[in-house]
Amino acid sequence: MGIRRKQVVIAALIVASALGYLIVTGMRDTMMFYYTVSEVTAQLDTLSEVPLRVAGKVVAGTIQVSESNHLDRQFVIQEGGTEIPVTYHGITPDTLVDGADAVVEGTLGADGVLHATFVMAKCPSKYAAETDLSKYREAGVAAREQTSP
Amino acid sequence: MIALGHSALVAAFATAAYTFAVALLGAHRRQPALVASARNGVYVTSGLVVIAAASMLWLLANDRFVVRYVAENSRIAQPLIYKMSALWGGMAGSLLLWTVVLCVYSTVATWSNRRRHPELMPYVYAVCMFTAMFFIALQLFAADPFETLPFTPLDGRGLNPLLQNPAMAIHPPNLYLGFVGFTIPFAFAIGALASGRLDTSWLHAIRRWTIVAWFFLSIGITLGAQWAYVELGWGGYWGWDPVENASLMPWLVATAYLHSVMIEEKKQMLRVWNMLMVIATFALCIFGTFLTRSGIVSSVHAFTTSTLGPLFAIFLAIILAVSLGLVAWRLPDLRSANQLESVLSRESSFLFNNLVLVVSCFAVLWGTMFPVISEAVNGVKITVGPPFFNRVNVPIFLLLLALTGIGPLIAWRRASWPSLRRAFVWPSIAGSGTMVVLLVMRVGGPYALMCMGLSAFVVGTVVQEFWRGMRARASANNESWHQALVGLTLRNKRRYGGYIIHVGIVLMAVGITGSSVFQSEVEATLRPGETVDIGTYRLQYEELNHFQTSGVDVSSASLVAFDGDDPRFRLVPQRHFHPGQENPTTEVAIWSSLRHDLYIVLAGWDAQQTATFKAYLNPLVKWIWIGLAVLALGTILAMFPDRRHSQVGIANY
Repeated sequence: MGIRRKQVVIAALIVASALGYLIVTGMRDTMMFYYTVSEVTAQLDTLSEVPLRVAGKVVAGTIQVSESNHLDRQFVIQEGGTEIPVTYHGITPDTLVDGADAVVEGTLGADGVLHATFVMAKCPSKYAAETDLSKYREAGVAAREQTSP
Repeated sequence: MIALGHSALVAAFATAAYTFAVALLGAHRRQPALVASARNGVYVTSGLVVIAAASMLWLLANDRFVVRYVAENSRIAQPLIYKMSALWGGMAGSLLLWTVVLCVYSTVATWSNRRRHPELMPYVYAVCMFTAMFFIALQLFAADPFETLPFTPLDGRGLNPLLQNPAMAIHPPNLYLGFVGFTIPFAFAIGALASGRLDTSWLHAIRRWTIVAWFFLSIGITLGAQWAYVELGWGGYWGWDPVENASLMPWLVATAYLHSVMIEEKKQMLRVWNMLMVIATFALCIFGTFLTRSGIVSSVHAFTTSTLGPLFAIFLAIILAVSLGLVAWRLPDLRSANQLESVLSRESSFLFNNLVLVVSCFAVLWGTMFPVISEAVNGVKITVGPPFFNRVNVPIFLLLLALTGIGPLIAWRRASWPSLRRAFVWPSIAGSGTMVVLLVMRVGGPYALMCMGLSAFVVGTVVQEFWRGMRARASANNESWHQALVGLTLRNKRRYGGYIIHVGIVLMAVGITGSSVFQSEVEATLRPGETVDIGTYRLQYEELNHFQTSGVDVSSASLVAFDGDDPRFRLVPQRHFHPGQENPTTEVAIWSSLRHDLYIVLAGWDAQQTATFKAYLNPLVKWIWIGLAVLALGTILAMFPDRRHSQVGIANY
């Protein structure tokens, strides 16, 4: 390998290692654990003040929007029989409704409440595996009953 | 019609299988008659798939709700255009769209090459048909678009209103035209490997295909970002969501390939690398399609887990095994005689361009898949979000921006200092001058300064290239400057189209930097008449109205923006409540200028008309969309071939 070709290889290695370093430190500094609600409640004491991402379903009737500023919001997510209350300051996505699948990022306070910095709720039904069309069934059955003598 | 559509798919599977077998047999036994039969097989298969797609469109347009897919994605009151766009609104339909785009592309590739590349074409037919077989099999066995319900609903559920929007209607087809388009270059690569025709003929065959697919993918990705910005109401346009990343990864590798292929054409170097790039692009397209449908990574584009995941994994494994096996087999024939000679050369800068793009793609892939990997290794899911991706990719894109300026101008083989001086003095002055000005104005931190400085550097190199080329041509041919400019560009569309694309990228970089680094936001709860300030604007809340339009309940707030004492414009953020949908939709109000966007969301209100707003001032966002338009124009120019004449009157660097 000529001297100049070696220079190219060395330069490439330097660039690649610099970028690799960025990736490694980037991961180390920004990573967070991703748990379900039941996994979190099972280890509440160890997970305090740790950045978390938690997945669960929104418990019906628990979504509250502050009367004064409409931006302080609370709701409760559940999974596997346990629940975690969540607080969030900001506009929650339109898809956050009763029963929605939600993913919340934030830190768990000493009070057991998840203080969220980011809320995501599943975009409904784009590629759902199963959909409940039974309400249309009743309409269809009723229509057939009306038309048959 | 249902039976017609379904049986067309079944028949297409059979003819695709036939074509696959006969094409390979014909290539192996060198029997042109078999290959000709395979060619016809491609046409017949495509025709059948088109019939299947047309049947589905008919069923959608005619409200045949007995078909499950129609009931899930359409309803009587839906506008016709969205009934048609429902073809790609759900899982099964999107697979049908993938297949029909693949068949149309295969037909065009087959027909345009009917008298060319005879050693390569049988393998091209085989690869295209094998892929078609996979997607048709998915529809026949896992997600049947023509599945019927045991009863006929009176009305359908309707397409999600978020998808009933022009940008959202064309975003998936654009993406598919991109993703699926990369099947053709991949097929030719397999053809070159299998047949042993490893010279540049396969590169020429796929050149326009790669550019066209890249064109659509670029538009599709940016349209998706624009839709997120306009529709989702969080003030941004890119969240590093797994589905977004799935579309970005093939784009990064395809961009790398588009550059490294020039090295192979000119110097016959990097041949193994180019093969791997084409394979990687296609594999990432399939991987992206898999990622968005398997549910293995959580995403806002929530696709629930389905049986499709494992099937995609198997297909991907087959593709990789066959293609990498072929590369390994042909490795001795792919080694090139020429070597890299110097760090300061065009070959090197293109190599660094590739390195940087591939590392970026790897970083995105790593960050996206890490939850799956960490769970498999440790049992614990660990994720990373936008901070990781931004932290890694911002320096990478700055490096790329620098290379964008350096690459086209630096000399081949070994650049001498005089040549470097001649090429880079003026652009460097432009770049550093810009940085000094911004530094003095105290605008922005180090990353923003570097981005703006490098952007000026790149624009400087492009302007210099056009200027010098135009002047040389004008004096040699005695033309006026605008004749020379047009003549210059049309004579070398690939080169100058490429420069225009680079300018488009720079504009997008400027827009992205401005809107992310310099964004400001404010929240306010106001009674009618009260105001809030953002940037140099004062926003006055006028009133809240509730009304109904086309069956949708609308709550609408209006605000007037004052610059000083002058009322400038009115913004009307709204919330829409659609019948049959559980959640309301946010309609963001955006006032857009070249300098910035004023972006307002209505967060809530009460009976006393007190309303809460969240407002963002996003500088330079419009330049992202303008940059895409410039990129698109440059790409269209670069698509057309150049006549290969000697370049009279144009300086060669």
